[in-house]
Amino acid sequence: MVAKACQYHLTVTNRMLPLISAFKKDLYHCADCNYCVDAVWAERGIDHVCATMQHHTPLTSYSGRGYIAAARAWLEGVDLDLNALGERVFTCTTCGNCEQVCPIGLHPTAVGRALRGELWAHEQVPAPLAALHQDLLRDENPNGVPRAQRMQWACGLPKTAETIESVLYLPGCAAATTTSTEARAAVALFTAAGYWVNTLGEADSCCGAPLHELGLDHAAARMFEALSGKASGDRLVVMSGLECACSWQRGAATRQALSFVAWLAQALHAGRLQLHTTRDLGSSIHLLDSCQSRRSATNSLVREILNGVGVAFTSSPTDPRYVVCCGAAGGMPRMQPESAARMACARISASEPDSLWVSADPRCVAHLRAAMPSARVFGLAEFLTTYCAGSF
Amino acid sequence: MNAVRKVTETLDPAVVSDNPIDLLTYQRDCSVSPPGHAQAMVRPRDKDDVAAVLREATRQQVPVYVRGGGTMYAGGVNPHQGGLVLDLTGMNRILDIDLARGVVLIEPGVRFGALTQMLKPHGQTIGIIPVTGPTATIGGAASAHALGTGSARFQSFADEVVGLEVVLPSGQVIRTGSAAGPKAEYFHRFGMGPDLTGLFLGGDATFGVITAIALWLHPLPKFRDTQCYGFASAAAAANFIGAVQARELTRLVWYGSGYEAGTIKSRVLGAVPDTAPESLPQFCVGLDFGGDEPMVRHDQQLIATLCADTGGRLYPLFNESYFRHLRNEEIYWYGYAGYFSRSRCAILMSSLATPSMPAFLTAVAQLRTEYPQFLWGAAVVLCRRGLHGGIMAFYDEAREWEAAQDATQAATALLVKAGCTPYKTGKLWAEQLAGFTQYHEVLQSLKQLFDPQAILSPGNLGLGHNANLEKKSDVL
Ligand SMILES: Cc1cc2nc3c(=O)[nH]c(=O)nc-3n(C[C@H](O)[C@H](O)[C@H](O)COP(=O)(O)OP(=O)(O)OC[C@H]3O[C@@H](n4cnc5c(N)ncnc54)[C@H](O)[C@@H]3O)c2cc1C
Ligand code: SF4
Ligand code: SF4
Repeated sequence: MVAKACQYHLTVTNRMLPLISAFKKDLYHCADCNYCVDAVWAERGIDHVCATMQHHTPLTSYSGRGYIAAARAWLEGVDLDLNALGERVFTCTTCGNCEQVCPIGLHPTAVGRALRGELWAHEQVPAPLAALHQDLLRDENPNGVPRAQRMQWACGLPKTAETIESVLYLPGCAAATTTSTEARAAVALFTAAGYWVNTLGEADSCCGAPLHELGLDHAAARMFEALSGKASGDRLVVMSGLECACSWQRGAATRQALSFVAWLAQALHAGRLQLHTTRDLGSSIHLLDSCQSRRSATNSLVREILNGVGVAFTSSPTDPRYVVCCGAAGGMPRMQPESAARMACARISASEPDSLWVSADPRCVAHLRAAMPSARVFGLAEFLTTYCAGSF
Repeated sequence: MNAVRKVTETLDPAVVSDNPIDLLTYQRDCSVSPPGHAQAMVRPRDKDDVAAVLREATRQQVPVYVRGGGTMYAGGVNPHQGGLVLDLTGMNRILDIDLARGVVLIEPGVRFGALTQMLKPHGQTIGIIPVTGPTATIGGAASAHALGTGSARFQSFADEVVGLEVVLPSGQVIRTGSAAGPKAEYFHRFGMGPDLTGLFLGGDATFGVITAIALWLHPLPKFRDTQCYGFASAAAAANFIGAVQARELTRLVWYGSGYEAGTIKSRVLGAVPDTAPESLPQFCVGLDFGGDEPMVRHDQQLIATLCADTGGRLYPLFNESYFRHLRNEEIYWYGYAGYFSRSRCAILMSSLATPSMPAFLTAVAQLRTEYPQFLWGAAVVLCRRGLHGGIMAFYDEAREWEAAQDATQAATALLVKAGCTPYKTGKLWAEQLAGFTQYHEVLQSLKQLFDPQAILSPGNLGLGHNANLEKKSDVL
């Protein structure tokens, strides 16, 4: 087929593409500089940019710049093969590194998400993600775990004492359905800090973050509202999922809601928890930053926490703002599971072979463990409760 | 089967795509030049892939455009006549770091950032690094005459090349410089007759595709420091730069650049608002020194004396408010700073003799008057001898793209009249270059010899525009 390629007609055809039209400024501002495609800048800790391009395909149509070019072409009236477009934009991990490195502050990740939204509207969604959507509606989690089993993570946990201060703990889908050890360790730390731990029990559900990553903003917002409605009252809400923390920021920025990392940092700072390393760890510790929280303080807080309890660790890249995805996020795990596993192995292999890997993001923990079962990967709470002594 | 398919059919399908969505990102570089529309892209893994493509493309008369990082501003990678794009970013291996010979051998798709990162533990660097270092490739830089960090000390990217491996349009592979010998390696560029290496440097992929590059290594400077010098006029600044160059005092200068009054005003007043405007110099020169500290200090003293002799003064305010930061950390981001004002930038690079700097700036002033709708910027970059003069026109892509092309073409004519010559030619300077009649005739003869079917990068350097090819790719 001959491409009826983008003609750079500078008059937009006013196609009914409201989601990408909202990014017109980005589409016409892209300098084609290719920083979002690939870049290495040691002084800034930028060591390649796009995990998809590194571990799935080097085709630039899978990059942030590729999404901008496709969105512009579509808006300008080029007849694109939407099937091929879907394959490209739904594979993206939504890690946001392309946005982070863009020297002029454009939003290629968001453009990719807008393209996803348009593709839903055009009913051009790749089958694995249509299935994920169905799973989410049915099970209220993206991991295929029946709804009735969501609370199994808490089985056998003793009821925590009723104290004046309580937290409403929402582990998030990953910790609840795939990394229960992390959820249980979090409860141990809440308790040690003197909090009465509540959950939503059977009513606990997904915050809508996976729908947001799929480009279904309205559906994501609805799912979030359903959850936040259940979490009524003025109780402090704490969640382990870092993508959940992003949902709460988007959906209820005024609500008293914290990521578990932020809560832990506060508790340590206030002296409510005392932790220190007890054992010679015997291995070097490698911190795996989360791409989902590159713009929040979370990655720095994890560093503060580890430093505070006396854990010496390495991390790569050194600057967490430019962290490359481990393959757990976005459409990647469903669209391209083998590439997603390669991304995980690459993150692990970037440090010493016998390390002990720590991640504050339960979704990454589950994905990394599945991709490389031999690697000793810990959630943050799990690591602290295993290797530190303190007031718990 | 169409001609493009015939070229790609023998290749591993994993390195080929003709999906129109994949081709969208191969339409153009950072330039104002019109995009082109290729029918397929190939991402070769090695020189054999490149040779296979060129051999068959010559047979089938299919245009081939060559792309590295795609960051150039002269349209060299834009596939104006359709055909194929060769994306060389997959050939990104560092083949050899030979500290004894002081040479690094790399494939063309290696990005500057990756190479400098690899060399750092050895205490080494390469001579010339452009502002686009994190993402630009060494092959693109060799083919486009990169400049920037290192220009004041080493002159030009081409001067840093020890030798090349090149695939010719026939598919033949040659090695140039000392490595041309059957057993020899890359350690010397010249010797066996004329300098064949030079034919491919700055060649914008018109004569061959570079598949390996040997570069000189240099010790990373242990100490760095920046200084700025202010002048009452551009002419005085030109005298100063000329004096520094004539005494070879750029030997420890890794980067040097000249700034106009507008830049000085906005930077200094932005940082120190209560600076008296009448105290601002009309022109500033910033120098970034690197080497052993006593030697740097020694040269700085000599240069300060030359500055005073030519009517200038040390101007730390510009250094503190701008130049020092630019050189420390911001440089790779800074290149895009102007894009905040408008959406894109037409950049035009020329070279000029140092005394011609005032004439260059007069041409810029004329452009500002004739095309006031654009935001014009200008800067000169110091070389060991002579200067590079860069002009930037910031424009709004959605409204002014075609007008910006016209203005850039007018700028090329004006600069030639002012005594400047094209630098980073691509397609942007093609018209002017074609006007250098005798020179261009020789280039055409060489083109005929190396690339008789004119398949390689037709349109670049004003060479090889082949109407037959255009027709052929129209019907593909
Ligand atoms: C904001 C901005 C700032 C810039 N600053 C600088 C600067 O400071 N200094 C500077 O020198 N440049 C600068 N540039 C221009 C550009 O980034 C550099 O020239 C860079 O070296 C080009 O490398 P590339 O890999 O992107 O080349 P490309 O754009 O991919 O290619 C450039 C040319 O080389 C040809 N080519 C590419 N690879 C090969 C090969 N293997 N064999 C044969 N031909 C090949 C292409 O066909 C094309 O004609 C700047 C550009 C921008 C947009
Ligand atoms: S969001 Fe991440 S995976 Fe997606 S295009 Fe950007 S850098 Fe690549
Ligand atoms: S980094 Fe930004 S300006 Fe550069 S190509 Fe990507 S989106 Fe465009």
